[in-house]
Amino acid sequence: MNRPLERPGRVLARLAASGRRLVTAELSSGALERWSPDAYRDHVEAIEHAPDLAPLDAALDGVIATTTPFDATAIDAELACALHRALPLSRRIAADWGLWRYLAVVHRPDVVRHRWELRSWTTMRDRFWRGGTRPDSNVFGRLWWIAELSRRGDDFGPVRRLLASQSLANAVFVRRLSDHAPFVQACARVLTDQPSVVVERVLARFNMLCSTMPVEGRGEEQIVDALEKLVEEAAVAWST
Amino acid sequence: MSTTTTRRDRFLPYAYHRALEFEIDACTRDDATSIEQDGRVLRLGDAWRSAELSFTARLPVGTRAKLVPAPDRDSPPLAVLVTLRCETTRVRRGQVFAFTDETATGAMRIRRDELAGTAELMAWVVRTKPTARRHAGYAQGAGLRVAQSPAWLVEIDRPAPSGAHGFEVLFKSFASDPAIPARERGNLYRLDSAQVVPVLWLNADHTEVAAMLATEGTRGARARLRDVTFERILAAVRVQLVLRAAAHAAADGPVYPWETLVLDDALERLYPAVATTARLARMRDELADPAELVARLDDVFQAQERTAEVLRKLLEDS
Repeated sequence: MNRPLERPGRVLARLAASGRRLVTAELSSGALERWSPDAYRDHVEAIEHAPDLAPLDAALDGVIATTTPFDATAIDAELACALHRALPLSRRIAADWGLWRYLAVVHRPDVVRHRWELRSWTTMRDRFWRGGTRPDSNVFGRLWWIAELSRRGDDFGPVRRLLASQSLANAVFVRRLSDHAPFVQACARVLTDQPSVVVERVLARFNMLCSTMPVEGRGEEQIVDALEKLVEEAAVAWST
Repeated sequence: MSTTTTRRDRFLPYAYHRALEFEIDACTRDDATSIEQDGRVLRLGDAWRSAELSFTARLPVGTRAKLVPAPDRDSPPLAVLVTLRCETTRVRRGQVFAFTDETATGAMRIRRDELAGTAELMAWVVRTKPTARRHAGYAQGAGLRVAQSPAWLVEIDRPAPSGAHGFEVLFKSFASDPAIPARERGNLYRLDSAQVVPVLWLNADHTEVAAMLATEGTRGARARLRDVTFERILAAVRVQLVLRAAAHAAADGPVYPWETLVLDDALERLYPAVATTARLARMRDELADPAELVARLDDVFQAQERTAEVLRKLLEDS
């Protein structure tokens, strides 16, 4: 049964599937700054132990104030770290994409618009709604999960290294191999300075190796060794 | 009537064993509550924080020898890798256990706050070191898999009743259910509609298929294959539900509340031009010729289903 929302806009909540109708071209373009509580009330559900959103809002305001609109490299790294620190959720809770949809569609659509320029309505719609860590996924959920999959405890250095290059982040996090933490850490160590063509070749090749070698059996150092060898091969192939 | 089974599989260019024995011997919740087991499905229930799964993998010595080249057979460099995967929470990790004679035993602790939906536990046998030189027909590199077990499904959350379909989808072992006739225990699904909420039972004995049906991903060929499979199942299940509801309505009235909902939906689709109050009487008349009614139901439900669309997407991803 849906729980009524007691403090709309003050604490984290979830947007139900029916809230998809709130993802409109007007909202994504900014013609509609944000929906009024009357518009979203029937689509929003309260969650247990909902975190206060004030610290998150302060962090988001800071990112918007210090970054240029649509500057992917600067925004993503800052936003991912700020978001994860302000919302230290368990994976079980964070797997509910209704939370990320609430943030994007109801609470802070301005952040989605700051990060992405509206070029294609269908792609922009996905950036408010779709689950996952692809570049066309919900902005908040994508970055929270990338931070979750990449951080080393409280060290967000690997998160920043991976998000410093969109091509690297996309190549790593469109693959389910990124669910294996040692793989992500190895990518952050080996691939950060590689050209995108090398990154793509190396990861495609490593993905193929994993069809006969369960990646869960490989530790970070073993994956680093494998990636380094593949980088050498790819660099040679690329230069000839 | 003959049946055709289409199965997609990956065949490895070296000696490989697909029937590694892998049993969960015990599953203990932190609150000591007992756990429901049904075939290869473990239902952990609610209100636990952590649980420990103890298991045994067994690979007969004779089989093990066939998986490594002759120089390795006295002391095969093999170990068991147990993997835990949860698509919903993106957990993917493994632990390696050494063989003692034919068996490897171990335990894995899981936390509820890191999992959701259904997790999958599998065992693999992997090489622990590379071969000294090339041997055609055998896996040679460290980490390569040479055997795998059927999966265990660990149900973290009871699947929510599906509002769209009006029934619950649950897994159980048909093989261990004496209520199912012996020759039907290999079936993929079974609908139990004599319930307040109908239950669509999926056969957990088909472990690879069950694991595929339990996935929650939305992209890729595996997700498409799941959608196509469900479309196939739903096509049959919808007709069953309508016929049961119609039979009851035509006799003494609905037995379960879901029957009214199912009939309201079906009657509107079948007879859009007929007045709402006259639709049930019309269906009652048509029950005299059930073959015609079933054909009409198939037509209207096909118009509602996405079969062609999900097949097209499957072809795109294949």
